[in-house]
Amino acid sequence: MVLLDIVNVDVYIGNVHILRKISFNIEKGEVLGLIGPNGAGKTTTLKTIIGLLPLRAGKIVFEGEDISRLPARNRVGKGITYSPEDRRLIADLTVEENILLPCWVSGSMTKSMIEKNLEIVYKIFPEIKEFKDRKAKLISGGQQKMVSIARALVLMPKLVLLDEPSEGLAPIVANRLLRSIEAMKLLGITTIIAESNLRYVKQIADKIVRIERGEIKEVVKNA
Amino acid sequence: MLEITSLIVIFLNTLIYTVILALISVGLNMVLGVLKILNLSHGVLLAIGAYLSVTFVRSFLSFGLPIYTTYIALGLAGIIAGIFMGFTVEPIILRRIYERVEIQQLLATFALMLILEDVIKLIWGPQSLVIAEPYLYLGNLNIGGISYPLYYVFLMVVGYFILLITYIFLNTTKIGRIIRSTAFDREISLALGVDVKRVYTYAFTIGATLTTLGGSLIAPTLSLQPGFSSEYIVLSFAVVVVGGLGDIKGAFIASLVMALARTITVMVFPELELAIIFIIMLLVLQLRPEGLFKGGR
Repeated sequence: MVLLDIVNVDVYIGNVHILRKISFNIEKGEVLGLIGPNGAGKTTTLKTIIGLLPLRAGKIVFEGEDISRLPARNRVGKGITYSPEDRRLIADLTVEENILLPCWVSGSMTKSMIEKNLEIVYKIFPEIKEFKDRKAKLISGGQQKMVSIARALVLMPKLVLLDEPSEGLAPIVANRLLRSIEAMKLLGITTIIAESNLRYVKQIADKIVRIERGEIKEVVKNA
Repeated sequence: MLEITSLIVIFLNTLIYTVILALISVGLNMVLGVLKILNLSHGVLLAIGAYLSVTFVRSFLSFGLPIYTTYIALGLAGIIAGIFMGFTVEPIILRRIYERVEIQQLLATFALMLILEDVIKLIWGPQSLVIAEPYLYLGNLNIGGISYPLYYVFLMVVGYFILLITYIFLNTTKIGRIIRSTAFDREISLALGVDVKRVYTYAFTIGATLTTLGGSLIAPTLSLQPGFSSEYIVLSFAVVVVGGLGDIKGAFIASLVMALARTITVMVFPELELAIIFIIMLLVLQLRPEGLFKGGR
């Protein structure tokens, strides 16, 4: 069953045409690797899906509903979350406060739901528990990456968008992250991973979409 | 050598001046930090709080209520003025200029300041207004032979209490942390599902209410005339520069630094009372433009 369908999407930043009629889809429970070199349009694609960038043409269909004109907060409400390339944690909040932020924003989660979700997140990333009370600005880049993904997971979304999750990580940490993404898959969470490292994505993705200069060049099933 | 009583008076004056400056500049910096807009009309909020206090205090007294209820009138006036201004000015005016270039934002808020000044004249008239009852009711405190108005102590206690509540609100409540997150990173807050428009309204309303409460607290100590708030707003801009743009904690510490410098200057070179504040501001702009209390350049 198709969860997200991107249909002929055109995106401009200012007057610059960044995404050119891109189309691809992702099935429920799949891990999709969006690969391409720097500047290919991977981040723009993810930001367009979450609603941070408007599309000028085409449409984005999520669970059969056209969400192209929905603001970001409504897309989060529908179950799409995002972990940006540069982590973007709130420096003065603690690690756990950063993770809990989307729960506080949603307003509809009970205390027990929040505790349950937090427990699942800590099962996927057990190491976070060790530094959960430290300020986000005081942890390492690799730790920040995990926290950023944990923050995207805490709502138990239907679709998670991960931008360059392995970038800047030591190989051992990057591999650890792969195991976490596998754990997310077991929970039934659909994932789009934007990566420039094809070898990394091939280890986990069910489908690979290659993007270059804002155009989709190839969509292949990963054997 | 300064006598101990003079030192106590300097200390009290510094604390009082600090709290007034802090109420205005913490509010101004909150708006700047969250909405990323330098609101030149912020000072008029001080005047609106003060003028509405006149109306409230006089109404309370004309209804025959005892004088001590005028302190409630002051608080109500400050809160109502802040909430009203917050829920009107932000959605109706500021929301339309967020995406504009800074010079347009400055001109728009400058125009708003002039409009509000005239609205004050229209409602309360151009004549001086005084509400001395809350000030006189508390009488004086004797400090080593020096008579010191007890109202200033009241102003100080209430003012610091308001600042403390604001600090606790921003640091321990969910909505406070969401406001701080939005100030820190608007885009990621959007991606986390934050209703940024609503957060802007809340942040502006809190910033406005701090300032209108400042206005209502100082109203009994002044003879209110149109334009009286200009001095305070200029001072609060200096505080914001020294404390760091958008830095709420920095604004409080800078208020203390400026108040201390001013109080000492008044004792030694009273002619330089205002100059000292702007000398400090110029020095900070030259040597540490990001503000005294922010990380390195």
